[in-house]
Amino acid sequence: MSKYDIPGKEGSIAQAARAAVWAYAQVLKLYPRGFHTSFGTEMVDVFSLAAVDAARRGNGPLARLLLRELGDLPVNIILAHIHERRKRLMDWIGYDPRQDLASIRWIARALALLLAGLIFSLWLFNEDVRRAPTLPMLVLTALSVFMLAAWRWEKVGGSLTLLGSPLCLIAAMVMAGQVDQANLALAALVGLALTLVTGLVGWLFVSVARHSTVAAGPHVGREAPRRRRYLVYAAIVLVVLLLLALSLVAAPYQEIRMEGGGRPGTPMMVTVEAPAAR
Amino acid sequence: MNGQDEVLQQLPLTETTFLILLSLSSGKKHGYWIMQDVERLSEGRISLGTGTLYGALGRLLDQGWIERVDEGQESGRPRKVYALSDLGRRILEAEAERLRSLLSAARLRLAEADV
Repeated sequence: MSKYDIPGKEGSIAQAARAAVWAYAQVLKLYPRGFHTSFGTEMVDVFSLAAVDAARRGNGPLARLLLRELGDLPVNIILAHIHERRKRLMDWIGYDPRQDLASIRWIARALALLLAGLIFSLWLFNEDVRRAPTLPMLVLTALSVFMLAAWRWEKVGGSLTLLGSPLCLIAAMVMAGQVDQANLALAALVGLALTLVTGLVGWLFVSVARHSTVAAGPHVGREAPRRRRYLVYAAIVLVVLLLLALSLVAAPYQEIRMEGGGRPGTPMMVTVEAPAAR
Repeated sequence: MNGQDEVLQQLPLTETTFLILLSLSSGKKHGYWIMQDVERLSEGRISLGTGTLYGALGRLLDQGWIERVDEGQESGRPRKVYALSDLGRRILEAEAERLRSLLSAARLRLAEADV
C-alpha cells in the first residue's frame, strides 16, 4: 500500500486523488525554478495529505479541495514569478535595503527635496506655469507635499507619491494643452521624466519603510556591494544630466511670444525666436 | 527609529499573515499542520490553498519573521518545519495588542450605545 492510498476507498475516488496529486505536481513546474526547488516537494506532500483527507470524506470535499487549488494556484504562480523577477533584478543591481538602509533613505530624501524644490521653483519663477490651470498645479503641489511628508511618514508619503506619480504626465499634458500647445511633445517628455523620478522616490520610500524592521535582522553590517554604489551615483548623475538636457531643449522656446493675451482657449499666434536668430 | 517603532511600522498584518504567525506561536509546525490550524483558528472562515500558504511562508522567511528548520527524514524525504523567530514573535504580540485595544474600544462604545 502506498503512502497516498486510502483505506476503504480503493475505487474511483482514490484514483481521482492520485491523478490530482500527479496533475498538481505537474502544475507546480510552472512556478519559478527557485521557488519550485525550495518548496515544490513540500507543496506536493501537503497537497497529497489534503487530497487523501478530503477523499476519505467523500467526493464533495475532494471536489471542493480541487476547486480551491484550481482558483488558488494561477494567481500565486503569477505572483511568484513577479516576486522572483523583482528579486533577481534587485540582486543584479545589488539593491538590498536590509544592508544599507540609511544611505537609501537619504538618497530618497535628497531626491524628494530636489524634486519638490524643482516644482516649487517652477511655480514661483515661471510665468507660463503660474498661468497654468489649477488642477495640474494642485497635482504637482500635492506630490511635492507627499514627498516631503515621506521624510517623516515613509510608508504613507511614499505610497501616495508612488500612486500619484503618473499624474505628473497628465498634469504636464493638460498644462501644455491649455497654456502652450506648441510644446506638447516637450511637455510629454518633461511629464514622463517627472513621473519616472517621482515614482522612483515613492518606491524608494516604500521600500525603506517595508525593510526597516528587517534591518534589525542578521543582514545589518555587511558591506554594501560596490556595483550598487556606482549605480546610485550613476542614477544621480543621470537625473542631473536629464534636467540639464531638458533645460537646453526648452531654451529656444523661452522666447515664445503669445499674442491675444495667452489665456487658455484664446486663439494665439506663436513666434519662436531660436537662439541663433537673436 | 527604535526597535518598537520598527515593529509598529509593520502593522496592521493581513489576516492570513496574522493567523500563520499565531499558528506558529505554539511551536514548530509543518505546512499541512499550519493549514489545518489556520482553518481551526479562523473557525472555518479561512481555508488556505497550498499556493497561498507557501507564497506567504516564502515572504515571511524572506522578512525573517519565521525560520525553516530541518527535522530529519520522513519516507526518504527531508522533513521541514517552520518556527516563529524573535522578530516574528514581537510583531505578533504587537498586532495582538493592537487588536485587543481595538476590541476593548469597540466593546466600550457598543455597551454605551446599549444603555
